[in-house]
Amino acid sequence: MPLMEVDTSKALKRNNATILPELASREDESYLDFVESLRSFVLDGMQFEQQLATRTGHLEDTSEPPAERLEKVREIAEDMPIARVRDRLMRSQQEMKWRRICSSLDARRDIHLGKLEAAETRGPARLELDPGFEQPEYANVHFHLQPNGYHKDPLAGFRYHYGTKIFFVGDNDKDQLHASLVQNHLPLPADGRVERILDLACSVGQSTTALKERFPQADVTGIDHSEPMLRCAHHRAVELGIDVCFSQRLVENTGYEDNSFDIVFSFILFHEIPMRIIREALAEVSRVLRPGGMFAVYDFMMASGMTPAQLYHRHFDSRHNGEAYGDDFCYTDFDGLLEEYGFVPAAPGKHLGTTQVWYATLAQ
Amino acid sequence: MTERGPSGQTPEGGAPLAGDYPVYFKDPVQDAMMNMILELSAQLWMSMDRLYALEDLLARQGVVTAAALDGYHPDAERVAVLKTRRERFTHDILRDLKLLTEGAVSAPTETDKE
Repeated sequence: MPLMEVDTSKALKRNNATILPELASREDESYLDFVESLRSFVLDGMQFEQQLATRTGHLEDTSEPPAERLEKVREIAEDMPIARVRDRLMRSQQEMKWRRICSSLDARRDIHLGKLEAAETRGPARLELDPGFEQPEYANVHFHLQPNGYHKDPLAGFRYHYGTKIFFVGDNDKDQLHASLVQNHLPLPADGRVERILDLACSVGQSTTALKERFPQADVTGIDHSEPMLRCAHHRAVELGIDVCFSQRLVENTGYEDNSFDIVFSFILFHEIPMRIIREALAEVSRVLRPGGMFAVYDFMMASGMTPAQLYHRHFDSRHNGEAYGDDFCYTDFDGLLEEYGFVPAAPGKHLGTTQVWYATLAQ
Repeated sequence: MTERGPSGQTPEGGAPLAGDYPVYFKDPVQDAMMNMILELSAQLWMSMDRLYALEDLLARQGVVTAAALDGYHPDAERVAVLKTRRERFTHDILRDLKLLTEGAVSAPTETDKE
């Protein structure tokens, strides 16, 4: 059940398109290589989905409400020993991953902090931190079980970046998934004008730099609530020599002027925020995106279209992998929300693996 | 499944999060055993990876033969280093048993079930 199924063969322009944090030792790399293989085994090798599917074929009909289908799927899985093993392994690989990443980065903590600090005096990338920034209460979650979450440890960005390497089981070591989304899938606004781009909740800036590579003439800004993420994103962009801006702002209150962006890009943001903030963020995007601009959303697929195995995984992931708000997003009608906030479809939506894609615009 | 530990709530709605030591099997010892096996596997892979690298480097440089490896005896300093490493190895493998003895994990009860 890959998060994204995209052709990455034509997306890369550089041989080393990312700057993965250096671990303390070859032993740490070996350990995490094993965890990556374990994750791959849980996702594909043990064939849990296939075994569940043989018992839940009658629940494939997506006309039944997903919450009702989920309860039936969970009842069936309750009698399957493999489900217990799968859940245990899925949880354990996350715990093993974070323990090792954190201990390895902490072993050279001063060196990593020094790199972040040194990058702040260098360009071409820019960094705007807000000394008076107050973290929103909803962000106090250990997303994906990452210790201390996204903003409470100065090395959270490095932790997250290496964590996603394992999450994508090696398929994004060079940002190829981000590059493919931007290079191969992102449509232009109807008039073709792209001068300013906003990357919502940019984390370590992999989409942000990919956007700049596709639109070198544009002013590209990535925003995030997390200072450690932004500092890591800035360090990474400096190392890559890419001129983008990273700014500490909230997606629901960006502070930018009305109609000021041609493209607003959102990669796996909306499942990380509660419904109140989903609504506020959509209102904010409808304010800062210019009429005719492109709002591109790549996120978890809606529960209404999920297979029984996907419903089972979503339930597990929300409760046992720190995806606290995943159900808020997946069990809503995002098309309906987009319409409610004045968006109209700009291009056909699609599914890339379990990632669902929306392209929307505002009437001229 | 049971959900235990201090981080069981989200700040604003959302799903009820599992705590720090969720139990997936009927007997939490089974969870601990599974984690021990996984940890042992990871540690074993680290050793195998290291060994492959060593063998490759040594063979390329023609430094060591199989007979020399079989006859190797560490000196006192090396023994102390190995002891430290072995203690970490043991701790990492047996971590979940330690949690069991500390009472961080306990058997599921009817009221714990979702």
